Amino acid sequence: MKPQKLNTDPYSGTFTTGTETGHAKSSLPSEREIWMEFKHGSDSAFTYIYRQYLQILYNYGRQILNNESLLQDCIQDMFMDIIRNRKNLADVQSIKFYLFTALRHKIFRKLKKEKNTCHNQLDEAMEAGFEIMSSHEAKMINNQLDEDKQRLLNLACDKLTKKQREAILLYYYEGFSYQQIAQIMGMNKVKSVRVLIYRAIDVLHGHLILVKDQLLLFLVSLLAATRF
Amino acid sequence: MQDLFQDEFFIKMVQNPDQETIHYWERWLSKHPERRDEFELARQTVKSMQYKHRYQMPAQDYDDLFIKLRLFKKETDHELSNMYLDRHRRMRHLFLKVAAVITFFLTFLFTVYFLVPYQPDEEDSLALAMVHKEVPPGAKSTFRLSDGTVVRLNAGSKISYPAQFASHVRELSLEGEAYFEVVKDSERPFIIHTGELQTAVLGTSFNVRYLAREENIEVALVSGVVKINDAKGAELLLNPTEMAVYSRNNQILTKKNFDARLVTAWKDNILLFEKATLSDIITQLENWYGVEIEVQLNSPIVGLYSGEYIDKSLEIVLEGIGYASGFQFKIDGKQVRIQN
Repeated sequence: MKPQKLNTDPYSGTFTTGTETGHAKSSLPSEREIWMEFKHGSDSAFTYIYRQYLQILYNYGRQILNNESLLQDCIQDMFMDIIRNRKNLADVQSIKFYLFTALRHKIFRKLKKEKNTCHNQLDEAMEAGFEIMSSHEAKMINNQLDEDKQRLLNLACDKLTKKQREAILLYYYEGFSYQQIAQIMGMNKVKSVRVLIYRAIDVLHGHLILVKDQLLLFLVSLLAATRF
Repeated sequence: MQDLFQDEFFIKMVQNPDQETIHYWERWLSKHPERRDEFELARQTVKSMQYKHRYQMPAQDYDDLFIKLRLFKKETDHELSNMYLDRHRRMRHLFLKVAAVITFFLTFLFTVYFLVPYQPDEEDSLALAMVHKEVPPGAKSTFRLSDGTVVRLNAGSKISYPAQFASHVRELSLEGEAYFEVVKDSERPFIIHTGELQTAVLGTSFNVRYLAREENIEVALVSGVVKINDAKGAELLLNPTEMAVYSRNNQILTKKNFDARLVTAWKDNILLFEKATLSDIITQLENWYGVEIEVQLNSPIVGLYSGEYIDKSLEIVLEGIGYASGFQFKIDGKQVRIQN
């Protein structure tokens, strides 16, 4: 566990940033070179890509698809496609972005095929997934308040549609840009992603206003208590 | 606060900060000191957004898929470089057909002898099939891989490997315990995947132990040289009589010496106990003989037991241990009961 340098005290702190590098490494300049190497047939580049992204992709795919073996088929097919056609692949800036787009595409194509044979499974697969949970690894100054805030946030998240939840997670957790999300989710306009996320934030924000008042209230009482 | 939530540059600062973003937001804060609380709340909120359910591909599937894809890649390497050859082959195919038709019409009597039927190359079909071998508790298995390597698989172990190894690497995955005598091939390293650990060798004998119920993954080297990597990239070179121990909880890879007799006895059908507790003995016996042992003790057995049995039946082994430790037993098919 890495030490969390986040300043969790909004009352006295100065702004410092966390040192986590757990995800969203997509903008490293060497990714482009690794992709080029992969296109030229390098084994170590392929190994890097697999090790780096397989579990992230699996988690993402599993949010869309509630069926483990079908997902594994999709992932295998997707990798085989890019290995087979690697000479003709476009150059990419972010491998993660490329793979997310490719996998999502693959899954929906496969689902369409399955749809003809069984309806129920598809409906089920479409409903669940991309559930969001708000949680902090580090202990906050006051656990009670923190739990309240998170409970409200979680309540708000449950009100979002699956599409909204997916967009929110791609944006906040996976660290993709609006433009990338538009491409991953197959939306024609970047603007519609903005609207999608804006509406979701609106729902979340309504709950946060409430929390902010509570935060102030808490600080005042804390101040009073320490003076006393 | 909504403006922060929607600002891509703000999200970048939270999730993936670099010099530029940090600098920018520090300046922004000094310009808007009154918004510091709000800023913090927004930052914490973004930071806390996570998947409610995080899924992981099971380790065995992860390794299998990796090996499969590596193999597939090798096949396509072959294909891509043979594209020209293939075209050539197809031309020949066409030519043969035409020639056959012409000869058919031209010569009635000799047709059969002139017609050379084209047979498609069978080597083109992908040898992607993975072989899964599983040895249940109570049994052991010894077999050869396609490169001649001898594998001795201990009871309760699973192994999967491609029916045909790739031409540049020999890879397989293991869950359980196995002893390998790897055929030397300096062109094709032999790689064993065991969870987070991967062991690479050129030609050598060694024992690998990766049991779901055990904290450590162990690789013990008898002869030759092996290289071990964990998932985080740590690397270890082993010399004979050395053993690599990977702690799965702490994710630490270390090296120590080992007693070769103790670690590899099982492959020679020697059941060996060295200062073993009763629960050690029971787990080992259950796996060795494929039985279920039920313990009902009136007074606890605390001593440590050492002993050696070569190719002996369960009854004889239990008699020996029972005599030393002071317990009685009853064997009823696959059920064993121990009591004192």
